[in-house]
Order: sequence, then C-alpha cells, then structure tokens
Amino acid sequence: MHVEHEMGNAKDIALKVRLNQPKPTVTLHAVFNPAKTDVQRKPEDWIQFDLACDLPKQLNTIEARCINGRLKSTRVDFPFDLEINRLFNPNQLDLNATLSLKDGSFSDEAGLHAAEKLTGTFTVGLKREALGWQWQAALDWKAGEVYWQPFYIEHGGHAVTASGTLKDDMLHVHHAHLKINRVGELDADGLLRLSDAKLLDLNATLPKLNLSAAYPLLFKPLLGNTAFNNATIEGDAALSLKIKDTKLQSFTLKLNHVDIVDINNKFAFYQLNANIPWSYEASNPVQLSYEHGSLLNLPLGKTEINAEVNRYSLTAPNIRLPLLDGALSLSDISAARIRDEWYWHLAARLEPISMSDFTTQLKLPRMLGKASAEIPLVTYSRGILTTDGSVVLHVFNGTATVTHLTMLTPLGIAPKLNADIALRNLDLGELTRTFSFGAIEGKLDGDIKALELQNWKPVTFDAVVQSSPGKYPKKISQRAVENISALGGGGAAAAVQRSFLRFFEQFNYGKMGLSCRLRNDICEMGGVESTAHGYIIVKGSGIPAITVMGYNQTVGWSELLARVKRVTDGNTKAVVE
Amino acid sequence: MKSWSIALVLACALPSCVTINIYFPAAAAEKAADKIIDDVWQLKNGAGKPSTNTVEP
Amino acid sequence: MKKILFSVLLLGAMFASQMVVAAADLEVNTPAITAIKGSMQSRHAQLAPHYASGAVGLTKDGMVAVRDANAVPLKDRAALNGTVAAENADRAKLYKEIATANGHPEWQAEIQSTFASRWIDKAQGGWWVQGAGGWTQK
Repeated sequence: MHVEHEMGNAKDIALKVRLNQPKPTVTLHAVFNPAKTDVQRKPEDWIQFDLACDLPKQLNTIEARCINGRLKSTRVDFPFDLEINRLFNPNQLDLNATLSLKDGSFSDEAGLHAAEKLTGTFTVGLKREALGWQWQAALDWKAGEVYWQPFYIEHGGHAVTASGTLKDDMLHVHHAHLKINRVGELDADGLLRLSDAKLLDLNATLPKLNLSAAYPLLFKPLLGNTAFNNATIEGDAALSLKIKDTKLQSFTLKLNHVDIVDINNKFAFYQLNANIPWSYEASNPVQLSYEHGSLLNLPLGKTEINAEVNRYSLTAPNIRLPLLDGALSLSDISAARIRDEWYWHLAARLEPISMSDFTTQLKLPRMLGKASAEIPLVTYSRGILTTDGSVVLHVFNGTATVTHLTMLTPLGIAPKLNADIALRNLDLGELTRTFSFGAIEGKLDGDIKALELQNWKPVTFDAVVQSSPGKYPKKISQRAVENISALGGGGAAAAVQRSFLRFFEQFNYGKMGLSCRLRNDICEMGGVESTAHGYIIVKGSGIPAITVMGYNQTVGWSELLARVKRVTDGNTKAVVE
Repeated sequence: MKSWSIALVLACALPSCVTINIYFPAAAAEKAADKIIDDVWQLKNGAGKPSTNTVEP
Repeated sequence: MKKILFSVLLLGAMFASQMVVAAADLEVNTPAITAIKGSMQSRHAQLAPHYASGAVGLTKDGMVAVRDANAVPLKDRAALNGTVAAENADRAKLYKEIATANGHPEWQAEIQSTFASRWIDKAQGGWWVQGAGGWTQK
C-alpha cells in the first residue's frame, strides 16, 4: 500500500489484527517520509516504524503491552517497549504508560546532537480533573552516552521525577527532583508556559554540588576559550535560586573548601570559601577568602575579600592581597557588568616586595632591592587595562616610573602592553652585578618611550639611557668596556685591546649612554655624542681616558639580544675578538 | 604653469588623496597569507606540495 | 580642463605607485603574530585528521567549522568543538593582528577574505571546503 499526503508519504503499510487467538494482537509496520520544505531529500530519509501489541480482553480499561517496537531511519534507531497500564477510568481519560528504550541512538546531520546505546525508561501518568490535568512523570536514564553541544554526558545513572498540573498551556511543577550521577541532587518547583517554552517561576535548591564532577560535565563546556577552561577543581558548592515572572530574583552561592588549579599554572587558589548572596531588589554583602594561591607564578598569601553587591555592580572599599613578602592593596574598587562585559576601576598600591623573590619566581635575572608602586587609578574596559597616573617602582636604588600603561588580554594568547618608562638614578653597580655585566660604578637615567610589548617581547620603543646628572664616582672596569664594545658590534673593542689601556683594571669616565630606536626588528643606535663616523658610548675623563665608540648605526634587534646574551652568559669571559 | 598649481591644490583637496592611502595590497596580502599558511600547515616552500600524511604510526 | 584632469590623474598615479612600493611586503613577523601562528601550528596536528575525514571543513570566510562529526566518537566531540572554537579564535586574532601590525586595522576584512581563498587553495585533496554552493570535497 502506498499513501501520499501533503503531510508526507507512507508506503509498505501492513496492519495485522489477530482477534481470534487466545491473546489478541495487533501489529503495524510502516515506512513513512514526513514532508519537508527541504528540496534535497534523499531516498534513504524514509523512516521505518514497527509495533506489535497484545490487546486487553476487556475494552473498558485498555491495557496493552507492545514489545519490539522500533523507529528507524538513517540517523535514528529507537528500539522500544511500550506498556500501557491504564488508559480509561470510567468515562475519564486516565493514562499510565511506560516507554522503555533499549540501546537507542540518534544523531543530527552535523553530529552535534547525538546519543548512543541509550537505555532508560520514561513513565508518564495523566489524569483528567475538573480544572485541567494532573500529571506525573519519571525519567530514568540508565545507560548510554549523549553529546548535546556543548555538553557530553558519558554515563547514565541520572533520574528525574516530577509531578504537577496542566491547565491550558501553563505547566505547574509542584515538585521536581533531579539527580545527576555524582554531581548532585536538585529540588525545584515552578511554572512553565508551554506555548513559548518560557520558565515563568522557579524555586530551586541544590544543597551539595560536587565540583570535581560538575566541572567537566557542566562548566568546562560553557567556559569555552576563557582563562578558566583548563583547570582542575575540588570541593563543594551549594546553590539556591528564585525566578519570578521570568526574571532572576535572587540566588545564593556558597563555595566550601574549593581548590581551583589551572593546568597551565596561570593561577591557583586553595581552600577557597565564598558566600555570595544576590538579589535583584537589595544590595548584599559578599565574602570570599582563600588560604593561599598563585597568579602567573607569583605566590599569593591568605586573603579575605569583603564586598557589597548591588544588582549588577560590585564595590569594595579595600582588598589586600598578600603577595610574596609584601602585598597588593586595592582600594575604592568598583566593578559593573554591562551588556555582558565587565568594566571596573580601582586604585592600587604595591607594598614593598623583595625584588630578589619576585625575579626568582618569574625566572628573571636575580635583582636586589624592593619594589613598590602606587597607581592612583586602574581602569578595565572592553578587555583593555589602562592605568592613570604612574606606577613607581623602586629598583636598583633608583626609580622606574611607568606611565601610560595599557594592557590588552594579559592572560590571552598574544598579550599586548604599551607604556612609557622613565628610569632615574639607577645604581649601575647593582645593575651590572645583577646582569653579570662587567662592573660599572655610577648612576643611570633612561627614558623608554612608546614601548610596545607583544607576547611580552618588545616590538617598538624609543630608548635612551645615559649617566645621571650630578657628582658621583664614575668608574668602569676593563671587562665592562669590552662588553659594551661587544654590544656595539666589536669594531671599537679591538683598538682598546691592542693598546696599553688593557693593563688597567678600571677607568674613570665622564659620561656614558646608548640609545636605540626599535622599529620592524631593527634598532637604530646612537650614543652620548655623534661623530663623523659613529657615536660615542663611553666618553673618558682623566688619565688614562678611554672612549668607546660605536659605528653600527643600525643593528638587528634579535642580533643585539643575542649579543647581550652572549655577554651576560659569558660572565667572566667577554667575547671580544 | 597655472594649471599645474591648480592640479596640485586639487590633488590634495580631493578625497582621492585619501583613498590612495587605504589601497589594499592584495598581492602582498596573498604572499603573507601563503607564508603563514605554509608555516601553520608545515608545507614545504609553499610549492603546493603538501606534507603527505605526517601522521605517526 | 583636460590638462587639469590629466595632472590630477598623474599625481594620483604617483601617490598610488608610491604606496604600492611602500606596501610591497606585509609585516607578519611581530611577536603577536608569531605567538598566534605557533599556537595554530601546534593545533594543526589535532585538526589534520579531521580535515581528512571530513569532520571539519574550511569555510568560505577563512574559518573552520564542524561539518559532519558523526565519524568522531561521542566522547571526543566536545574536544573537537573546543579545538574548532580555539582555531577560529586564533584565526580571527591573526587577521586582526596582521591588519594592525601594518597600521591599517580597516584591512582586517580584506585580509580575512584573502586568507579564506588561500586556505582553500592550499587545502589537500580530500579535504572539505565551502564554496558559494555549499560544501565540496577537493
């Protein structure tokens, strides 16, 4: 038999009713093809449907058992049993049925919504009442895996039971209980409008959420490419929330003894506790604390944060984050989430931290002294971190003042930093010891303007460093002279080496300086003075006077870095030929 | 002579002065794209010789 | 009048040729571009088998997309999706970075479409690429 209809086509229909047997049965086999507007229909899109049922003997209460039912097409295979326990009470529809699925599978075209080996039962009860329907339902997902982009659920063991009433298109859920295997159990009640599938009201409580099980299942897929998508997490959370008239009214989130560790070591927080109440109507105090942690390899000490949350904004007068042997103190913090983006500003003060610890942690050449900073205003908006005023670092007995500091996606793949840096009165003795350069006594001023770092490597700057003005001892060692000459590209050093000057341990100098204008990986170099053929890097004074000249006006930046590395790595032996 | 000076003024007053600046270097962009694609896909010299099945056993 | 027009054209041509010379090469060696390229390069080992199987295809706008993941085990599909999303984030960043590195952020769209045709041109035989009429196998 073949049927054509605008709803679709059907063929090979076989309906067999056997009433003359001890057990009356009905079997149905059909192949159908629902009409679609899609022009490119393939012949294999036919859906096969089979069902065989035992019929009840009395017809007033229908009971039927249908086994070996099957719905099958190229992308769907649902073998099922259907058991109808009750269909009619006298005159009233009173349904109670169980659908059991055995090893079912389905998939959409792109494979982004799919299930395999799905086994479970769905029981539904429906009873006509004076004012609508009374219903109850239970879903027991016993086994099988499901991928529903972006979520993947590997095993069964999840169950839902719910009951309520249905009137017009309003589905009242009087009580629902959802159990997600290993993750937690949720109790809820609410009101759902079926016509547009809108959740009108909801009260839900999730007293204990196992975060280590919930993170890969629920959170990681939603975190996508954010900084938090590659972490391990241990501990518990509790959540309760209330929705009224489709709007989130309030929620309370608690974290208990949570450890979050980024797999790439970008951050870690241990023993995180939080109590975050939120309500649309009123402002609430939130608390968050952790015992210790780390951020970009810098250890963080025990921290307690108290803030006030008011609808979509957060304020805190003061947060102190212990960091190494000092602390980062943030004040006048104000953050707001507007149209799915964070905006915040704060003032920051870095209480002195030891540079030796700081540089060791970041695997930089070990520096001495203390670093401290004062930033009157830090602003974050659309992924860009900007500072107003200046960051003053106290290093090498002098100061490094960073102004116009902006940072783009500091935790992302290609972070970008722009700044101007002014160096004043740096102690050359300490500086040269730190970088294993030949010893120089004196002070250094410098200006690095229009500095741009990409992925923490410089791409542009206009830098000038030279002796600070004023009176102080200015001495340069033989080895430092060799090293500086090597930076300039050799040329000048040979002359020094071959002359009688090489017998002196150290020399006095009048002034020294070097400039580099970096563009397109090329450094345009200069010194304290220009001459006809080059520039003066160290200008001698007294007897014996030594002058170091540079002749290369342009040097490849990577070549220059390689030279610096050779010099500082060579340590006791400068490479000068 | 007169027409030249007018031309100069015009040349810089006309928007064409500006449009020249945003001329897109299609050939250079293709060259740059090829270079990057060869690097990312590890194609040798970009001579259209794909690194055939570098899948390890 | 003709003469004026001619000289305008001449001047225009001079400017134009100057610009062409100045832009003979696009800067693609900034640390940001190198970092993105490195990230894409290391991801390619994961993506290559999916290009070959047809699970992932090259789109006409210079991105990649999950085309038919049915051959990929369910448990690996989330990872596949993540890889595709990460690749697309890198690609978007790459196009933007090349435009800004050359001082013309407004070139981003054109750079992206240049890349789109070059990716597809250089795709291996058997890979799926998106044309005006949909997916086709090279």
